[in-house]
This record gives sequence, structure tokens and C-alpha cells, in this order.
Amino acid sequence: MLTTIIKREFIAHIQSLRFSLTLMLCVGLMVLNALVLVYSTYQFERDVYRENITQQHQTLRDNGAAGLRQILLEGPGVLYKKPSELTFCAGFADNKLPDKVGAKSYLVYMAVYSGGRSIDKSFYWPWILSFPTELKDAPLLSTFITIDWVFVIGVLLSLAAFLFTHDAIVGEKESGVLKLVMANSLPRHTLLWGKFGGALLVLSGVLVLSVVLNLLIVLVLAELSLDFSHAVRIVVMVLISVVYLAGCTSLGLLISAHSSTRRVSLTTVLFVWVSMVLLWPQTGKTIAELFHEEAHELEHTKHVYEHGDGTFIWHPIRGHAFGLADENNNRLDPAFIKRFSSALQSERTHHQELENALLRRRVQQVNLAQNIVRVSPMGAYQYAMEAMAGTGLPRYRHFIDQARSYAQHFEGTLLAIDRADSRSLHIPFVKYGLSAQKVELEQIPVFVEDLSAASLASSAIVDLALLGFFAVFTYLAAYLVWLRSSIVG
Amino acid sequence: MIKTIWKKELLEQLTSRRFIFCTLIVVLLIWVIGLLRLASYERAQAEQDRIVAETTDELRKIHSYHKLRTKVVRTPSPLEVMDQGVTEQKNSIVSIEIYEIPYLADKNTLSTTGNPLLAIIGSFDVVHVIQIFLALLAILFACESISGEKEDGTLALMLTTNVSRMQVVIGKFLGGITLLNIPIFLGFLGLAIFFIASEHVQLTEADWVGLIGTWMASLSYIAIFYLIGMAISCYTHNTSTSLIYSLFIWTLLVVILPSSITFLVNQQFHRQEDAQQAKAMENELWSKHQKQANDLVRTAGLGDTYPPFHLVTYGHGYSSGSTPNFQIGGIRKDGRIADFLNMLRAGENLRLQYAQKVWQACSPLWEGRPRSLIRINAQLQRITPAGAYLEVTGGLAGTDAGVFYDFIHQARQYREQLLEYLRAHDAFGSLEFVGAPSFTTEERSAKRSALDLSDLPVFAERREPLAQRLSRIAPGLLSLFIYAGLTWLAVIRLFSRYDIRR
Repeated sequence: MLTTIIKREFIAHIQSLRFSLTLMLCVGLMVLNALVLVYSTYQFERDVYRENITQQHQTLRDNGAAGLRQILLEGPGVLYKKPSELTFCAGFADNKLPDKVGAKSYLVYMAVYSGGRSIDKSFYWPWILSFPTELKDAPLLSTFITIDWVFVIGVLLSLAAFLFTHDAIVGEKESGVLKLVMANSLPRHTLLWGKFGGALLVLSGVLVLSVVLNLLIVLVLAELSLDFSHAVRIVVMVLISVVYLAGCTSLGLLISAHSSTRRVSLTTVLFVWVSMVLLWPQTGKTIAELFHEEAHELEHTKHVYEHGDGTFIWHPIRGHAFGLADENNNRLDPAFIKRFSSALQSERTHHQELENALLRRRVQQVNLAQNIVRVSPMGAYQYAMEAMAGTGLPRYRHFIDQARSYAQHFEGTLLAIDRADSRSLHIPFVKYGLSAQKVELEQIPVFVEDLSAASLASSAIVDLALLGFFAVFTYLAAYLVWLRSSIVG
Repeated sequence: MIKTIWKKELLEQLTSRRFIFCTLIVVLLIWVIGLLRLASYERAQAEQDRIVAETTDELRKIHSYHKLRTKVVRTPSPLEVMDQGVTEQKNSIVSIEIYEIPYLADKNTLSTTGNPLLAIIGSFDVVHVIQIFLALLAILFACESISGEKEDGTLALMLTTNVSRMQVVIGKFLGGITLLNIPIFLGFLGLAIFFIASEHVQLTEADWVGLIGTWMASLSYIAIFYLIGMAISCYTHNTSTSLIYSLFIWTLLVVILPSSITFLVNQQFHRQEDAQQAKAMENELWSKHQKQANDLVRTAGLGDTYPPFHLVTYGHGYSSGSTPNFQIGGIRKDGRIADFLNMLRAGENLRLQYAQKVWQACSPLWEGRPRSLIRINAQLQRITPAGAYLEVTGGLAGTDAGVFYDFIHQARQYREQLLEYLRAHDAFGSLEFVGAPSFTTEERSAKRSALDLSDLPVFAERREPLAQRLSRIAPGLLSLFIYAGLTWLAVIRLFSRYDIRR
């Protein structure tokens, strides 16, 4: 009996006007999305990334050749986030987030003139992980919608799900068909399953068709190398979409079972859809701004720099630095270097804390905004998709975490090499306190981000749970309401 | 007769639960968003005051003219509460430098004081509630107006009386618009009360015109959707088909088309590529400047490099492009000060000329391309009533790109004033330019006094005249009227041929 109802619903849906319009819109937009990817800036971004990586390796090699002290003082340089291949699936937030982390030191140039000669007392300000927020590739015009999978599925297919189901029960009640159907020995749950299954089958069909078409164009025309891990992520994204659509279908059935007339049901589903999909996801920012104090970057920057352009303000350490070299430029007192090094270290820790605190405050504020947005299933769906596509905030946080552990690894490995050198004084942060031996690029740790599906999926767990809950809860609610509702119009 | 139909339409819907519920939601949304935005506006104002105070304070500490830099801040418009327009994107703080001609930069490409990461969450304005929510309501109410009455059989009865079809259409249209005006009017009334009650907001005449204009524009926009709904209703013969068509048209006109246009225009903009190209041109020109400046020194027989600090000091300085950084130890008593100052004057004037050259070479990339793409986007957006509506409201609220162009123009004029000031004080040919008011190394250790910049011109922002703002929104308004006219004609034509028996 269940299959008969599913079949009947399926055929009724695919013959309807709303099905044709949905299919047309979804397929059209998915093709547009794929074509834009083919002719978009992805390739340029990837080339720039590769160029940056080559340059970074060259700098590491040069610094390594100049000696261990040089590479330890200069730091690993700028670390770049790899552009995600799956931006076309969920790309709304990707070009609005920074794509690099700074780990560079600054040479504080100091010279003292004595007897017509200049004595070099320059020193390196120890490198810290800084989190610049300038965006190199921010979009020119703001829009709250990007044509990607999240939009096509999250906005349009969810509307289709509501339209397919809003009259599923109330419509048949009004036309009297429901009474006839229920006159058979048909349990209520079978009818609901049948209606749910029929609608979801049609929606999944549209989803799979448009996704396959999109991927075909992307694979044939775009120079995109997708491997097995990408395939897994794409399959997971399709499954997430099905769960989301199942939730929307159940919600539509719930409203349909609860409404007295078709008109009321339609008004309600439209109101729910506009609020859930269009309005609520846009409120998070405004509310989060109310509850958090703005993080003033200027105040923070001022602590370190004068104009934010690398020029240092007068700092007590500069006073110490006068002892870094004497007039003959050679006699060095290890005790002084040690003191100077520990002064630099405490400054470094302090600056790193400031930098971390600023980032933490900013991320907390965005988290709050996202948690507000997550209340709507559309928000949870978007974030789950972003996590799987390797874009958005989850990816940025993942990148920062990896950069942090890399920085520790980098310093640890190089300091271990230093410890093995008997000629070194083993005093970090100061030129004369470190080994001068050459280091090969192979010995230097290189930053590589782990982008496996498993590492990204962990950040999607909350959203997946929310979506699962949404689907199950709305279905159960629909079932309970349907059990209690009268079948007479 | 029209009045009777109007009254009937109005009373029928006014008492429906559907209308009361939707009105409540829309009005609440407008008020809540308005209040939240009012809080952001107050924050923006405080931020402006803070930056202005900080800049004034920094000006007091400047020791040398070559370090002269200041900031100008655009005064936020109170109507941002209704429509933020591009204020979230464009930079309201412009740095005024001697050797850089200011251009309109995007906020997120610079370090800002807020939280740049928040850009990944979208935000919603009062006008968006009208653009999306009310348009949907309008089209839903209208799409049943003709076919619904036909299904009920009341249309045939109505047309058996001496009422003409034209009168029916006019009556129904006026009824619908009056009905939809209720949430808009209540929403705007609330906003006006918030404005009056807030002690931080002072509305000027232009702002009142903007507020009332936005209300009128919203009404015309909603009228278009009501007419589209009526046209669909006249085209189809049952309400369920007309509902599906209406939703499809609404999705297309409000959600898909405006976003797709913006999305495609964004794809045409290659910020990173353009920035790299501009940087390369800039670097090339500035290295040319250094060569030419060195030649000046050589021709005068005063050495090899510009600035010829060896003439007057043991110190050093960097003469790098648009941000020279001179750090000199002290002035030798036997120094050739007059020669040095002449050279400095010539060299810095040359730098000013190069600043102009850099601007000429790079401005097409910095500002020309973004501006032309923004213009193309605005022109394409006029294809849809939603795009045209946002263009009109942005212009009325003083939050569209044009306001920023005007602001940046003022910032450039202010920079010219500063240059005039420096020339009048012969700053480019003075020792104060490189920051050496002391003449011996011994004197250097004494406390250096800051420059007296009390007579420095102050930036006075002038609000764009209303007439200029209105002329900018004319194309948007025109396309709204064209839309309204065309849909009206469509409704008349379709209804005059409507077969009430089918």
C-alpha cells in the first residue's frame, strides 16, 4: 500500500506545474553556478596560492642557507590558506574571510654613530602569529545570496518542498479525497509516510539531477582536480541536503495537517519559509553586535606599532639594545644576551596574547551570530555545507589551529637542531645566541594544511545533529498532528 | 461605484486573520530592525567622534611636515536606520596624505575598527522587509482577487450590474493598495517616532524628504507587485495555478534575478589581479621618481642621492615613494642649509607631481573599474522592480554609492587645501619638513617641540544637496513607473478579455 501511495504522489507531483517550474529554476541556476566557476577567478586564486607557496619555500631555503639563526629569527613567514576546490558548493563566506596568517619578524634598525663610524645595534623583534584581516579578494558588491548549492537547495528547493506538501493533507481534505482514501483499511502513518516519501523522492530527484548536471559541466570544462576525498565530501553534502529537505517536507506536512483550509496552509508555509530561510539568517549579525563590545584593532595595533606600517614606537627594549654591540662590534657578553633574550621573550608572549585575545573576541562574536542563525535550519544547513566544502568559518578556524601547531612544530624542530650544535649559546631570539650552521629545506618543517573529509566533518557535527533533529522532530510532530486531525473538511 | 468596490475589498481583507497576522509581523519586523539599527547608528556616531578626537590629538604631536597625515570621517546619515545601502562596504574613514590622492576604498580591504569577520553573516534592513516580505504579501493578496471571485461566482454577479470592468479593476487595485499601505504606514510611523524620541538623531529637512520619499517609493513598489498579482489572476482561471505562477514570478523578480545580477557583476571584478597590477605600476613610477630626484641632485653638483642629507647632517632618511620617512640626527653647524633646502623644495615638488602621475595611472584600477561595475550593476538591477526600488531608497536615504563619490571628492578637495597650506608656509623648503628644528646634536636631546598647526584647514563636510540626490534616483524611479504602467496596461487588457464563464 505504501508503495502505491508513494507512486501516486510521485506521479501527481511530476505532472504538476510547480514541479516543472522548480526543475527549470534549479537546473538553470546550477548550470549558471557551474559556468561561473569555469570562467571565474578560482584558477587565478589557485595560481596566486601556488606562487605564494613557492615564494615562501624560497624564503625558507634562503634563510636556511644563511644559517639557523637567520631562519629562527625571521620565522616561517606568511602562511597561506589553500583556496577550496568546493567553493562552488558553499562559497558565501569564503572570500569574506582572511586567507593568511602572518608569522614574520621585523628587523628593528638601530645604529649608533661614534667616531665617524656607525655601529649596528639592530635586532629582530621576535615573530608571533598575527591574524591580518585585510581581504585581498573581497566581492565588490554585497549581496546576502550567492548562487551556489546552498542557495539552490537551501532556498529554492526548500520552497519547493513547502509548496509540494502544503496541500498534501488539507487539499485532499477539502476535495473530499481524503475521506475516500481513509475509508480503506489504511493506517494513518502509512498515508503520511507515503506522502512524505513521494514528495521527498521528487525533491531528491530534482536535487540529484541538478547536482549531476552541475558536476558534469564542472568536471568537463573547469580545470579542477577532484579526488576521492572530494567525492566523499560531495556525497556527504548531497546527503545533508536530503536530510534538510526531509525536514522541510515534514514541516510542510505538519502545517498541512494542522491547517483548516488550503489558503491558510499556504499563507503559513510561506510565512515559515520567508522567516526561516530569508529573514532569520540575516538577523544574527545585528543581534551579535548588540551583545558584544566591538574589538578595536587600532588600540591593539597602537600597542605594538606607531602607524601599523611596521615602524616601532619607542620601546624600553630599544634602550637595552644599546648593549648589543660594543664599539668593536665583536665582544659579546652571554649574560647580557640572556637578559635581552628574556626581555624579548616576555614582550613576545605579551604580544601573542594580545593578538590571540583580539582574534578570540572576534571569533566569539561571529560564533554568537552563527549560533543565533543556527536556530533556523537554513543556518544549520549552510554551516554544515560550508564545513564539508572546506569554506567559511569552520575552515578558517581549522586553518588557524593548523597554523598554530605548525608554528610550534617549526620552532621546536629548529631549536632542537640548535641544541645539537655545541658552538651555539642556545639563547633564542637574539642573533649571537643561536647557531650559525646552515639548514637544508628538507630539515625545515613546511606548512601543509590537512584538509581530509574527516578533519572537516568534526566541525559539522553540531549542525548535522541540528538538521537530524529538525527532520525527526518535524516528522514526529506532523505525525502527532495528523493523528489528531479530522479527515472531514 | 469604484468607492463601493474599494470599500468591499478593504473590509473583506481587513478583517481576515491572514491580514492581521501578516501586518503584525511586518510592523514588528520594521520596528525591531529599526531599533537595532538605531543602536548601530548611535555606535557609528560615537565612533566618528572618537576618530575625529583622536586625529586632532595626533595632529598636535606632529614634529615634521613630512609626517603630516590626517583622517576625514563621513558623517553617518540617520536614514541608515532604514537602509544601510553600501555603508557597510565602503570606507567612511579616509586617510589624507600628502603624496597620496585619496580614492574610495572598500572597508574590508583595509583594517577596520569593527569586527571584519562578521561580514560572513548577512544583515537585513527595513527596506528589505518591504522588498521581500511585503512584495510577497502583495502578490499573494492580488493573485486571488480576480480568479478567486470567478471561482466563487461573485465576479459574474458583480458584472451583471452596471459596473464596468475598468471600475472593478480600479476599485480592487485601490482596495489592495490601501490595505497594504497599513503595515508600511505603521512601520514608517514607528520609525519616525523613534527618530523624534532619540536624542542622538536630528533629522534635517532632506532626511524628512528621504523618509517620506521612501514611504512613497515603497508604496509604488508594492503597487507593482499587486498589479503583477492581478495580471496573473486575470490570466489564469483558478486560484491554485495563479498562486504557483505568482510565487514563481516573485521568486524570480525578488530573489533570483537581483542576486544573480550582483553575483555575475561580482565575477567580473578581479580585486587581487587589479591590485597587483596597480601596485606594479605604482612601484615603477616611484622608482622613476627616485631616479629623477637623484638626477636633480647630481645636476646641481650636490651629490648622488636625493635627499642630499650629507649637506647638513650625519643622519639618514628614506625617500621611499609616497611615504618618505626622514630620520635625521641633527643639523651640522657648517652645513649648506640653503642648498639643501632648495634641493628639498625641488625634490618634494617633483614627488607631488609623481603622486599625480601615480593617481592618473592607477585610478582606473583603484576606482575606475569598481565604479563602472557598480554603475553596470545599477543599470542591470533596474530590470527588476526590486533592484530599482533599492536604488531609489538608497538614494533617498543617502546611503548609495553616489554619496560616497561625493564624500571622496570632498576629501580630495581637502587634501588640495592642505597642500595649499603647506605651500603657503613654504613647508617643502623648510627644515621643519624633514623634522629637524634643532641645529646641533646637543640640542636634539632637548625636548623637541611639535609643529604649530593651529591654522591648519579643518575638514568641513557638506551634505549633498537634495536636488542632486533626487536627480540620481531619477532612473530608478522611472523604471519603477514604467513597471507600474506596463503592469497596469497588462491588467486592463487581460481583464477586458477575461472570460468569466470558463
